[in-house]
Amino acid sequence: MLKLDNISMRFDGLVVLSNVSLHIAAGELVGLIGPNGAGKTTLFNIISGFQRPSAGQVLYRGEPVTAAPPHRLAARGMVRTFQGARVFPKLTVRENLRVANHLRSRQRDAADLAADAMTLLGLDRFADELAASLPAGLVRTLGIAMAIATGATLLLLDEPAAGLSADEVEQLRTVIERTHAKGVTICIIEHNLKFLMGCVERACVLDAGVLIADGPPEAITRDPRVIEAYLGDTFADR
Amino acid sequence: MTVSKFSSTLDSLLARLHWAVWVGLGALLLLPFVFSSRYLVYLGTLLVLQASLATSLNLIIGVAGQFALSHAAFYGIGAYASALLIESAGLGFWGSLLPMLAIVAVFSGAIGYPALRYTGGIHFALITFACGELLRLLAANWDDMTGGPQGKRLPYSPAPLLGIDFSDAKGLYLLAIAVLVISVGVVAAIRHSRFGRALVAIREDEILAASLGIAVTRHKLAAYVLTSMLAALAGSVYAPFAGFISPDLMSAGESVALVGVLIVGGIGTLSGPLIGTLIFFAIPELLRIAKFYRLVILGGVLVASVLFMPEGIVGFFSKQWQALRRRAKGG
Amino acid sequence: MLLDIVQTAFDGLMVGGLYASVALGITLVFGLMGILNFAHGQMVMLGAYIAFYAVASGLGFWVGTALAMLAMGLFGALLERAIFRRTLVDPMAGLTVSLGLIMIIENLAAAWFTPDPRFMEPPLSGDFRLGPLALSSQRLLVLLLAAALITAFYLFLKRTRLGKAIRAMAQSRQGASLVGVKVTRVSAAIFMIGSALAGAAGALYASLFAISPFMGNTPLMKGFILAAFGGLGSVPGAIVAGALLGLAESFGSRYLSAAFRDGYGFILLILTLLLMPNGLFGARKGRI
Repeated sequence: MLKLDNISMRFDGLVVLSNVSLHIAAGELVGLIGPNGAGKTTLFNIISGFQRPSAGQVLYRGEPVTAAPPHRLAARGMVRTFQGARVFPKLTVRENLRVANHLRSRQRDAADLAADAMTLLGLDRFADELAASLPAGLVRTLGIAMAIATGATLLLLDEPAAGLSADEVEQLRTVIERTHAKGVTICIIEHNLKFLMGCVERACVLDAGVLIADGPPEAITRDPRVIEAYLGDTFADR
Repeated sequence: MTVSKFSSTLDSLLARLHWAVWVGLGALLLLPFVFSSRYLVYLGTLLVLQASLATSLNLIIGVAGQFALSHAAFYGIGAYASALLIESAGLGFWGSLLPMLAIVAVFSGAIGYPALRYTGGIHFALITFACGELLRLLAANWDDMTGGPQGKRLPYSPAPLLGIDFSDAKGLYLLAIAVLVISVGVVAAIRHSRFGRALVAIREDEILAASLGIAVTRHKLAAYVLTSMLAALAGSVYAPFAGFISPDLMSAGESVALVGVLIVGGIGTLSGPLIGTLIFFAIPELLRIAKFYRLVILGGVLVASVLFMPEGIVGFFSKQWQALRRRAKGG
Repeated sequence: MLLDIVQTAFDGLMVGGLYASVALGITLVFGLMGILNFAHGQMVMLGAYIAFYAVASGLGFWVGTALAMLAMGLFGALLERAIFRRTLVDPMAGLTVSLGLIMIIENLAAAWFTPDPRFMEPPLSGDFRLGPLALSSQRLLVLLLAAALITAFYLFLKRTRLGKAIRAMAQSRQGASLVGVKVTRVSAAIFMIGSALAGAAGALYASLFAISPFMGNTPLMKGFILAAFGGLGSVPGAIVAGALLGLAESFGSRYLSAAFRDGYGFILLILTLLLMPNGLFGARKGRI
């Protein structure tokens, strides 16, 4: 479904990404991990059309989309969320979801999709509240609900669990699993390895712009290169 | 009274207040017919046209959030284009409308497309300002076509339609009201439509909107072109009304005054531009303050509004009302 | 023919110098504070009138110019303190407020000074002969004074502490405040200096052309053109752009159409914004 072919990104003399090649098949649930500054969000930006790579190609469903603008990719089913909770603060929850619905709103199932997303994430009670008045965890949840409400078939979630409480993380896991069960392909950037490793089937590790490992969670956590990249710190959790 | 009863009373009271504002505005519109004073009809027509301009400007600035400073220029283009089409191409007033709108669509599209590719207001504001001034200079210098900087006398008036005679002042006043109704109608319809929701999303956060599938530049461009066409429509009525058009119509200062009207009245609200127009134009006119001092006061009102009441008068009250409503519902 | 070209070039540089003096204030304020101050043109107008009245009441051109600079400098500082400081959060608010300020200042001036154009007695008359060239003495003086002001300003930026603080702020507002630069004080200084320069430009302008309460809009627009063309926030950019615009207008008016004089600048602005949004010197794009 998604293929990255030797993606490189140079910025002001700094090499941010170096020959990253990656393949995500339809229906997979993949994690993208790596220490801070490894280039994960930049990779998402490139995949979703917000940035152009210095070299390489992005192929989505077989078609080259390296130069495609974000809205066209969203129309083709690829939607990403942003680091930090990004929603429309001055609109209500319901209005936020209606915007997310924009692509589908000409179809009959539009309202259902939005309502489903709202219920799925437990936001019903807050339907008419301003997004700005919600507690941080719920704002994050709204952002994910909006991505789901677009009817996307490939979801790129950028650090969805950051700043969430243990309960909220569990809720998030359920949401991801349920959405995945519906057939949506999901790729998640995450720092909370305990959460991520228990969730995904496969993890790709990025370090200083280079893809250093790609495989099932158990193999990744034992990979010496990965441990070295993290300097063992984050694995102290386990 | 129980809490819930109080809050629902408050709610209906506020809803009624909203209606009252619109009824009041409607009543004002009828005044010139009631009093049959030539001055009132003249003032009324001028005000109604200004109110249409403010309303259509609200579409690009208030709803879409893009700061356009070319509005007065398109008002003038509408007047000049329709006058030229009538005089040189021999079309009647009604026949000239569609070609005039097409011309304006092309112009505004040509200006808007490259200008809107940039995120952010400053570049767009500067480009529309400069293009507006260029258009004015064009009108001032193309003497054969436009009569040059002195302007052009226009002896025509629209042919009768639906039994209404447009060669007299009252007929033109009705025509102006029609333009206002169209402008308000278009903006109201857009606000409740899918297109309008997309514009609001773009105004609030372009990048987020794009990530959700909204074609940002296309939407902004559509709003800009539509806005400019509405301005031109008002201009085409101004021409026979004033009997005289000049490049001064198109000056950047006029565009700025329109922005002032919006800010004072309340950007993004539907009645805001109308109330703003009343405050900006009607009150000073009626108080007969000397021309220059009038503008000084308006400038002062604008500065004060921006500093102390950035949502404008209607916006300010609208926000209070909505906050009250929410508090009332919350019980 | 050659004489003609030199004459036109000289005229262009002179006008360009005036424009650049105005542009410096605009480009700095926008580059450092993100505010597009449309009211800047009014400083030029007021400076012109101060010089005019100074000359009319016998104080002379030099006193008039000095007064213009002083008064406008103070006025600029006042505006920054009372008004623009409050709009830092929202640059669009700053733009809008400045639009209101234009209306106030312009129309108060029209009410007080009457809207008729006025002519000031220039301090110099006649021509300055350089071989076969005959250049208007007053125009030469204006060119020299504008160049002197710009050079003085440039040196100020490079050599003085305040100048260095300004340059630091231009690079990074946060960084500058971290190293102890008093951001608010520097902002006030920028407004003050920019306004003083505009006031001087006004006085110089008055010595050559007729003045009216509405004259502020043309130098304002030219100032924006230069600021955008040279790169918002870039001082060398504004200077080079001034020279180029002045020359373009001068040659355009002489050899193409004089009536369209202002149009050349607008076309340049539009082309610049579209093709080279960062301007000639690619200074920071400014907060949008």
